[in-house]
Amino acid sequence: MNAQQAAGSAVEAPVLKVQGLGLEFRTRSGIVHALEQVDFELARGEMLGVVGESGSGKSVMCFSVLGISDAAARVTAGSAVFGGMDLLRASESELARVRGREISMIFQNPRTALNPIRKVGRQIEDVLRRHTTTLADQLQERAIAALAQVRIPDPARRYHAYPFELSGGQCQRVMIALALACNPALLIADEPTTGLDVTTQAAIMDLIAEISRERQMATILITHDLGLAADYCDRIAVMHAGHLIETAPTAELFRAPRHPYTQKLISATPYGATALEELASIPGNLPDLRRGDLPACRFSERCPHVQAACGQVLQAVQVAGRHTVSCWNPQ
Amino acid sequence: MSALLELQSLKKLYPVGKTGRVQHLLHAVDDVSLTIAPGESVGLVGESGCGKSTLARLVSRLIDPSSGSIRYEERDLALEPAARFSRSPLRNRIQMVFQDPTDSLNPRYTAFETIAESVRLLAGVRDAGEVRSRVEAAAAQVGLPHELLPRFSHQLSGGQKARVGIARAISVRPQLLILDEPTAALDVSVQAIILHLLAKLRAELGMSYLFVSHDLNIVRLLCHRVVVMYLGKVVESGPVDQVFNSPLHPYTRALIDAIPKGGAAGRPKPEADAAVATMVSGDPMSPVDPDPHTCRFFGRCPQSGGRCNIEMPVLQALRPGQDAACHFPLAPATGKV
Amino acid sequence: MTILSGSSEGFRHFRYVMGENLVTLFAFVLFFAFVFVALFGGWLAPHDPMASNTAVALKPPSWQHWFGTDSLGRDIFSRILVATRLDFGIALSAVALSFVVGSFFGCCAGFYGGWWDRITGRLGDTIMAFPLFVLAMGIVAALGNTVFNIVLATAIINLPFYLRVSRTEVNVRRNAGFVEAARLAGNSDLRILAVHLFPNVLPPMMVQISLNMGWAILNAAGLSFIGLGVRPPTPEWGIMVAEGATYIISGEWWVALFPGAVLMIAVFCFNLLGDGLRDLIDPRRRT
Repeated sequence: MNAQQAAGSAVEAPVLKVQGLGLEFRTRSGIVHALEQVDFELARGEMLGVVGESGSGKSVMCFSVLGISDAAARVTAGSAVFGGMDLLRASESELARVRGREISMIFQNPRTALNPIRKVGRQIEDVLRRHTTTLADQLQERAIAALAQVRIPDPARRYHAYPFELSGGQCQRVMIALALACNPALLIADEPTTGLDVTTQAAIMDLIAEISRERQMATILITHDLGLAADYCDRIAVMHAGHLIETAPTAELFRAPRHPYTQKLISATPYGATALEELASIPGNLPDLRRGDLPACRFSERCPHVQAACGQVLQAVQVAGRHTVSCWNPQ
Repeated sequence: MSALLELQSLKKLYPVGKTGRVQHLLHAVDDVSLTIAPGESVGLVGESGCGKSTLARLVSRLIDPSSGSIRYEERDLALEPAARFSRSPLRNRIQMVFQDPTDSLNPRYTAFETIAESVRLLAGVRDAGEVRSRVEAAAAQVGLPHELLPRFSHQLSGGQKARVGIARAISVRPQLLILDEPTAALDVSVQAIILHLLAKLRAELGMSYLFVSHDLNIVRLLCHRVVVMYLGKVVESGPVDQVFNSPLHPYTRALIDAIPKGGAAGRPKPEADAAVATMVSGDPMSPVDPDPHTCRFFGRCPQSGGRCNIEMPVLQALRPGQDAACHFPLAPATGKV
Repeated sequence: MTILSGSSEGFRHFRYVMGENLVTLFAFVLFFAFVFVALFGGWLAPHDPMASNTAVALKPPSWQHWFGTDSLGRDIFSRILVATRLDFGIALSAVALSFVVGSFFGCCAGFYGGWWDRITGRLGDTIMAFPLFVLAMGIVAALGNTVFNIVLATAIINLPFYLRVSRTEVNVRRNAGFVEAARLAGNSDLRILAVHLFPNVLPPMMVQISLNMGWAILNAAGLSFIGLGVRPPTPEWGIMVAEGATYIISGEWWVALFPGAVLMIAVFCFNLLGDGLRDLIDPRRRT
């Protein structure tokens, strides 16, 4: 997406607007404060990368938007407005209508997400039958077209394949075909290429990016790989311990990261480094999110730039155009 | 340079079913020769199913090769069956760090017991006090705080588990450490810490590394030499910077191109170039009974020419120190990304 | 069970598991009550379980005889208490026997595969092909009516379950990372099996053991009920139910009801115990 489109989409109402989202898990060892004060929005045709380490809450955030969180999860605050509806307060039947048709999701492990004993073509037909008004005699044709669109070679033959007969990359293509069968307005891709080879990863990501562009579909790419997000996303949101700490257009984020954690994360990612010494490590661990005395800034205990003001309640500050950072002492 | 370890024509074929009386064979590792010098770090890269993990397990003597030899100090380790090698006096010379730090620790063992077992069985230390001091020394070397030693693996974080796995391997002072994707299951921040630790240990203990990874970036930072495998064969090997900057084999090129480039440059990815685009359109050929006269990369390779499915290219030195198995190697100019 | 011994951490974990799950706590209390009775039943019994007194034959429950008396005037409550040791003894030794034999062969089958696997697999299938109770009857009838043969028959019919569980559990872990790591640490195959794999197989086996204890008690009582097990006048729950069965029609319900109810509670207790035992023995549940 170029700058002109970005400017245009800022005026247009966002596809998804999440405000003040807070979520906790009730477990037998205490309450896990999984998300707090998460704000972000997503425009039509935009690809947003949500980047964070494991346990940062990036998947939990998207699951809660889709209403498919774990039973122990409870949304404590906030709203997620999609097409005029607050997804966090919608009933199960309202959500069921939206899921799969207007918001689709691609999961990390395509092999477990597909039904192992049903032909992949039939699985696409199931989605079409449930969410669209396709006539019965056109179902097969549409399913084959969907497979062709994700560039599965020989789609008419692969229509009859079972998931175990396909390679990992092809299974992920089938997943994408399933997710896109109903032309969703929002696609959430949760680590879609983890576990795939790098060459396959490039092909799958190229495919997702191309389809998003063609259909002007808003896309959220959840990944732990900052380099991957940098290659494909228009904007990147960095998460740390349940806080969304920095959001910026990709180029800007890499040129001028403001949050100390973002800076560390960028220099810990080995893509740019030419020698091992350049690779930064981040001392310490994520704080235990069950703690009752979690600091206002959850990075403050590991942060080299910590100061007295860091104890106050965090607020996202706009530091440049679409660049916001939640830090009392941005660098 | 005398070699610490020398692999000669190593093969591992797995029987996979029969048609009539013809036994089908999966060529997991097919005729691989490789030397590792003392103190050298060799990176082994390739995609899943290319046989790099099988090769690592052959070298670490966890499985037996179908044919070929593993020469170490004038001896052929391949002659001793893997089941017996675990009791061999040479067992402590070659150790391994596994990919998944969770899976590779016995859930019923504490960190201390895990490291202590190696010390007792391989270093032959019987005295409880000496075992303790050896374990604590190993833990200190990998930066594992002593108060974590009585913990079970599920009470440790991913990075701590990785340290336990490394401490177990280095506690017996191996000469060759095989690292099977040791950071693949870790977060980037932890990955950087572990990579620094591995570099430090190599300098302190003078070990050789065989570093198996699918991530060329890490290999580039940690290793001296890189070996690229594709479907059981070595397709290219050479000094890491040379291979990275001007690969000879089209597969190596595609592998390098496919790495996300973002990050440092902070620019959007350039349009996928011809090599990757052509390559990813096809799936790799089956590793079961591959045609011995066809290059394994044939069909996915953008360079495929007439000879490629008539004659298997052999690995040969095409530039000083840089070998490749290709009939149509890339010119230095096109190698640069 | 080493983890239960002494250490304060083990005890804390025991308390945690118990506090977490009231059903498990109930099952454990019941289990220890049974064990107590099995050990000290003879001293607790208010009457001599063998002494017959026709003057008070077939008397309904009263303060004198809590569970009433049987046709020979023996105190049913005392007989039930005393029988606990025999019934638990049979069940425990049968389960121990099939656990030891079954998990040894099962673990070897799962670890080595090949011939080990084929032979133990077929052995298990052969045993399973018979109606199990009929097989147990056949074994006791053929070998003779002794306590040892009841134990043996019960052990044999339970063997396939242990073979299968241990084979499967070892098989899925055979190529786990920690097994490869153990080999690199200089463990021989046998040591890997005994020291690394077997302890990891124990938690699921515990569930099996507990369920099997219930079956074993039922089986022993069943054999006695049809006259193939322990012989009268030895107090045993199955015989007591059998003896009482004839009187149910004539209205003397207590003769069969009380031993039957205790039998039922014992089986119930073991079935509840299983999950709790697994939680206790698995270090991953200790956090």
